[in-house]
Amino acid sequence: MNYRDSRRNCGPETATPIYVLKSPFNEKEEFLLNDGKRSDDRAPLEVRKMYFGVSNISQAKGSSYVELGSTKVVCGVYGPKEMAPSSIFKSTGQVLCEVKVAPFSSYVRRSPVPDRQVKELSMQVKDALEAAIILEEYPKAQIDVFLTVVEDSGGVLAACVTAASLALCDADIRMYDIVVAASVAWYNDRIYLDPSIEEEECIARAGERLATSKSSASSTEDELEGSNGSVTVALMPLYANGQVATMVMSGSVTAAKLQDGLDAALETCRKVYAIAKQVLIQRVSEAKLPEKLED
Amino acid sequence: MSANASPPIPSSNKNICVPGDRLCLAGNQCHAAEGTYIFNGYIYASRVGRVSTFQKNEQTFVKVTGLSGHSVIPEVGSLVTARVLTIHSQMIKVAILAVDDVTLHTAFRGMVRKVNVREHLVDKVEMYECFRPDDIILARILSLGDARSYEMSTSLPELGVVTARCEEGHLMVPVSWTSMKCHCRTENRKVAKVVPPNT
Repeated sequence: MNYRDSRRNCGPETATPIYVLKSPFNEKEEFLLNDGKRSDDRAPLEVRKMYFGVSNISQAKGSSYVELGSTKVVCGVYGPKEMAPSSIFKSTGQVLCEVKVAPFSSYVRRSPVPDRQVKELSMQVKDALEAAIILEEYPKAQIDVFLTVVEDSGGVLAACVTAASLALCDADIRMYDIVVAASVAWYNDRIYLDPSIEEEECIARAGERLATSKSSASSTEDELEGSNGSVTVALMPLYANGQVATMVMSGSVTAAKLQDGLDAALETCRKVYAIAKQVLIQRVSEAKLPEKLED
Repeated sequence: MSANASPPIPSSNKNICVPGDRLCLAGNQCHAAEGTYIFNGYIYASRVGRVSTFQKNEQTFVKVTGLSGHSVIPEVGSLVTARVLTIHSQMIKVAILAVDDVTLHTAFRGMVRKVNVREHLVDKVEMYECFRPDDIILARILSLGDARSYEMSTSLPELGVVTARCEEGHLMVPVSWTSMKCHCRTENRKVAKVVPPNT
């Protein structure tokens, strides 16, 4: 990015931005290093450490904070409130989901105004939440979900869906189930759980190279064989014996590897669910519930 | 396949549930009350909170009490507290502040039509003699209305104006079912028959 930002001290015009030099996958795009571990010292089927917290924003009806490795997402839920004035009467509730990505969240500064990719992320999170919230209980009402990505280190959609679910539970919104999400990547026909941002970008670049090499009708020898892509699956583990709320996939994956990857993703979702449930139970046990219980 | 490896739950937390937890079989033994939903013949929790059962009409109901008490949007038949916003000849517009005894985070909009203000002589109602802007009223929700406002009614004796100020700003007390007074003047309102809570 070469434009001058007048609000900041950008350094001399001739300086090279550091991100050009940084990328570890620049030359040798290998996920697995020699000892069978990934670049951040994980096994292929190992997820990053995660942390969930709720009720962190006092002004919001419900809120949550999710960390997946270094990815950090904050969510605030407001409502149910009156729907924006419109001429259409809706007998079920509406969900307004807005994701904002902080300019400092990724290595290259992102615009604070949501771009097309972030808007698509908002729609994907909204799809997952609309499957889980019992909207029939909120006629003419609107539930606002605001997500802020503080640091994007891979698995952002998964973190956003889980954060939104936790915040909705904290806000006492009626739901069929808690939606949790996990992401899985395929690279060179192998499955990797919870890809980091470097791995996601590597797969995206490999996918682009594959696309351009196909269109230019030349086949180079060091092309990747087999599956190369990534998927994020959002799951409601208990509702109707397990329902996928939404699934976003990119890349090209062989049929044989697809099922293995999805199974791995769903299994990870169930592990995430166990942690999320513990956090919510803790929240209730620490809260003082309203005294009047007689009906 | 199922989620496991969670630490043992302390005994005081045994009745805490999260959305999606299956509570019991639905049927004659157990009915679903607030905070639950029925799916495939079972009752599931739909909110985070504590599970409890209660008896009503010799039947068992199971409910989940959440972190914030009862439901928070106006429903048909619920008693609401509202503030009068504007007065028109055929109706008044109000801002719904609380539903039953739960204060709303943000106000919803409602309206009371002329025919729903009182029970007798409904055609001869003068809106300006029944309500004034900024009065606090008790009303009952009749229906969801349209996209803009709920439909409400004050036609029962216990509904109507609870708190009002006179034109000069003094707090008024009721003197009859149709008027309230302060030390400087008397004004007409449709007064609510408020029953003290512990009777």
